[in-house]
Amino acid sequence: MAINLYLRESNYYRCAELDSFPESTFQFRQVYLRYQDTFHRNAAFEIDDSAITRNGFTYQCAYPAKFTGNTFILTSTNPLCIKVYSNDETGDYFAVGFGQFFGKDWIHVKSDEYRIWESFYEEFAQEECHHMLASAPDHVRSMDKARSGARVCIMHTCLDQLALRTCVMWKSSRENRVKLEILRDPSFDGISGEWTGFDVDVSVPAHYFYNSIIDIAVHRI
Amino acid sequence: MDTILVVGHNLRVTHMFLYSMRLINVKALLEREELMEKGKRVDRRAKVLKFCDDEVTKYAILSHRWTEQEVDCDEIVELAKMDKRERDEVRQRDGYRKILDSCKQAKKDGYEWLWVDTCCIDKRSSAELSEAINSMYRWYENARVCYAYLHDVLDSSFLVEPNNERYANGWPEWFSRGWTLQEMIAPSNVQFFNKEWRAISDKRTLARTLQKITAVPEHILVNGLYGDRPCVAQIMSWASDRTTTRVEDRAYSLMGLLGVNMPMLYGEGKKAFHRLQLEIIRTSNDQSIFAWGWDGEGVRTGNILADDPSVFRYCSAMELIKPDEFIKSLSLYMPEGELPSTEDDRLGTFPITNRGIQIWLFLCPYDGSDSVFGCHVALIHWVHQWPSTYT
Repeated sequence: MAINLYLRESNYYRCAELDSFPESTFQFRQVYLRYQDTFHRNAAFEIDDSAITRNGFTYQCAYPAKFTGNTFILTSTNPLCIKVYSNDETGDYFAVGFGQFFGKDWIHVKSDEYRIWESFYEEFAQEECHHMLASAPDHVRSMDKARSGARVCIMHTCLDQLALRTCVMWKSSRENRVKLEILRDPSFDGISGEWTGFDVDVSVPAHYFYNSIIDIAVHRI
Repeated sequence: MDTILVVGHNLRVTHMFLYSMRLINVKALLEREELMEKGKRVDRRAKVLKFCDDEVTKYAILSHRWTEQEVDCDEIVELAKMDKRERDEVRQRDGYRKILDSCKQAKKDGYEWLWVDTCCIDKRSSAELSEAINSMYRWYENARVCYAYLHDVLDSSFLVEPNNERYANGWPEWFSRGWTLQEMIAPSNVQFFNKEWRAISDKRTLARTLQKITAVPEHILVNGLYGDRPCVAQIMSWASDRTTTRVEDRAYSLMGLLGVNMPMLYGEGKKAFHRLQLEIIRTSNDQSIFAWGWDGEGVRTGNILADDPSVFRYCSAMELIKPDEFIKSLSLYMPEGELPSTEDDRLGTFPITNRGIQIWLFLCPYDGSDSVFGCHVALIHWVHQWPSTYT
């Protein structure tokens, strides 16, 4: 039985519980538990996974299960949604985490390179939920860094034989439009797994973004 | 009316009520009703309410579910002065019948005084309302008998199993309300009545069934909150599934059970529950107050205080353990030389500062993270999870 705390700007906050608990050595430390209210707006996500389902991937499950649809809102009590996709032909499968942490939105992709969870997609989603919650501050930092001044952020992630391109565009600061695409012949050398921010011409209509993010005239920041 | 005179140094004279508990004069109210029933002339000067000392007065008290047809303090006092049409409208209300029936029961039991929350608090005065709410646990505790009126029970026997067809939560509505929790625990003698005011049973006889319904341990129902008080988290858990009309009452209705007082600020919303927790922290070092949502349910990212009693739902089996047991359990995770002694003041002190609650905790970072910590701390190890139907 335990609770989890999050250290932010030298104060500690309550954060979501994880299934596992750290077993290493504990330190007896004086801390300040923040009791003052922290107000965070909710984060809306709109996912377009049509491009990957056209490329042989199947949506397997979501965790928590209530986030089955492609549009959902994350709150401080429901801060994370995991979606798992798999491709029977190539054996690829991966989890995409959509999160909200202290008012900051983040997205992270994780493939299971050792295929430990093959065919156990719900368990994989649950496992990744706990990992990503624990790493939420790092995911926020990674995305924040790229997002600064950008309207679009793109991240490439290596799968087994393919690569996944995750692209997020902000309709407003709280509305995340996310498009998932598969790269068939990736050059794995150039895939960093990090977010890159792009400045997009604001006159470009939103549907254009959905049709093909590659065609958009982007200016690397 | 009992008053004292306070003379200030500016020679201004102020009247202050010596006692704050307004009680119904059972005999006066029943006599007035009898005269009105017979269409006879009513003595308009006859007082049906009087301020009394709850410590010495022998009185009965009513516990009930409010309806939309209650009678307030002004109406019960002014009834004799109303014209017939207005008076009859008040007299036919369910709330008035409830007061009358309570008075009849009190008279039958030999009590001259009765307290009913609908008409014994002048809610036009926020000061009086605040004082009453802060005194209410004591008023129920000092009552010689509490009549628990179950308006939705027709049978003359008490349910022993939930009836989901008849009741939304399986049990009479009285058991789902926030305020009735303290009204069940505080008085030593609680008598249950059905819709027709037929006696069903009493709290001690029903203790085992009541434990099943309310999660309040049988020994608390029989002996009260004396001796070894349950930890804060356990008391909160009893209120986790209860509802109140006003969100603030979720907090205010727990003040007496948790032994704290604070001013009422209707309109503050869920902040009332935060204030309640801070009041508890100011007067106690019971770290189970941080154990809400330990099972992961309802935990949100943010401040350390719970937003609502519902997140204490799974804390009903928690108990405090001794410091030496706590230190012993920590030896698995820390070198012996770094363990604090049981007398170490740092273990049991956590003052509230403007920066946050200053506290010594046992922390361990999650793998690969420098900002997310597991907290194997006194707040968890001071409490012990016993087997229960809730886990």
